Amino acid sequence: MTPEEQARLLQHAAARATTRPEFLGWVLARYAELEKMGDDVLRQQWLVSTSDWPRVQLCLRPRAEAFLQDVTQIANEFHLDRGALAAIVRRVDAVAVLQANEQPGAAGSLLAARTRKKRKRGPSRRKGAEND
Amino acid sequence: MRDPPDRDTLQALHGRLLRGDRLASEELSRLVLPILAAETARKFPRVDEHIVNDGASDAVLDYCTNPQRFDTAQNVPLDRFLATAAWRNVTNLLVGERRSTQRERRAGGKKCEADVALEPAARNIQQEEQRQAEQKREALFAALKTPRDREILALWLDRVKDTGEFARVLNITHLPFQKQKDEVYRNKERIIRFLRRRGLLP
Repeated sequence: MTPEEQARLLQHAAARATTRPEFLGWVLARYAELEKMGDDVLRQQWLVSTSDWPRVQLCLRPRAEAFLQDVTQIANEFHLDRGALAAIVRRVDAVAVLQANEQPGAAGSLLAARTRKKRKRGPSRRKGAEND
Repeated sequence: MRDPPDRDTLQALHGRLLRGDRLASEELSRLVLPILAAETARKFPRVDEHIVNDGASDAVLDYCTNPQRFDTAQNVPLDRFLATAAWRNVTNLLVGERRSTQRERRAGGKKCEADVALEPAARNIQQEEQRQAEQKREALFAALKTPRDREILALWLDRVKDTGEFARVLNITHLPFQKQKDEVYRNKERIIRFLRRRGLLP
């Protein structure tokens, strides 16, 4: 297998990792979606080379119980901004939690979404009001 | 091609994954994937490269997600464990693909029948031909005595070329590849000869 074929294979695996929440590739793909930016834009912002990008995507995502340690490990390996990486993971996690807690059928959200109907005043009541 | 990683390196990576090392999955993918994909492609020589790569990638990603699945006590090396998982993934993908093709064919056949039925001049020739083909197929299956032979015949009629598929039916996947090929060939020939003797095949 040539180096080009190997690189293509790694990209293929990285693309599959973006569909699995256990991998950093999934987190980065969700973040790019939220920010409505392409995968390449994010890579360029982080100054990661094309060959290293699949490697970043194939890392396992930081664990909640060892968050700082995991983020530091990944950031050091690929010379990334630790703060930016942590912010991205937290943002994606926060959106995921919000989306999970969203209950479209709940009473509160239904009330807020409902448009108020104008009350029809019957002629008898109006008459009464005029009498008053 | 890069040399295959030695067992100690793989064992060390397994340990790192168990300890929760976030980089071990990336390192393992780089080390193992090219060899794993090449080996899987050799087992499925006529299968699309994408399917082979999917199977190999999924084997590595599945393992990285859940490294506890690999039991060191069973004395199976990690590279063999991954090779088996990749083979199984590709087989499953092929079975799924074949089923969807058959569904499409059936759906297409029904559409043709419906179209022909609407055209009185066509006299439903297609339907007649299909019925004859089905009857012939049923006769072939009925002539065979064992379910294993019927499964082999089904694969042969579906034009499956992959030795692995036949080997799975014959339960000889543990044998070396060449032996598997020989056995598959012998069994196919036996069934074809038998059906010819019965006058069911030209």
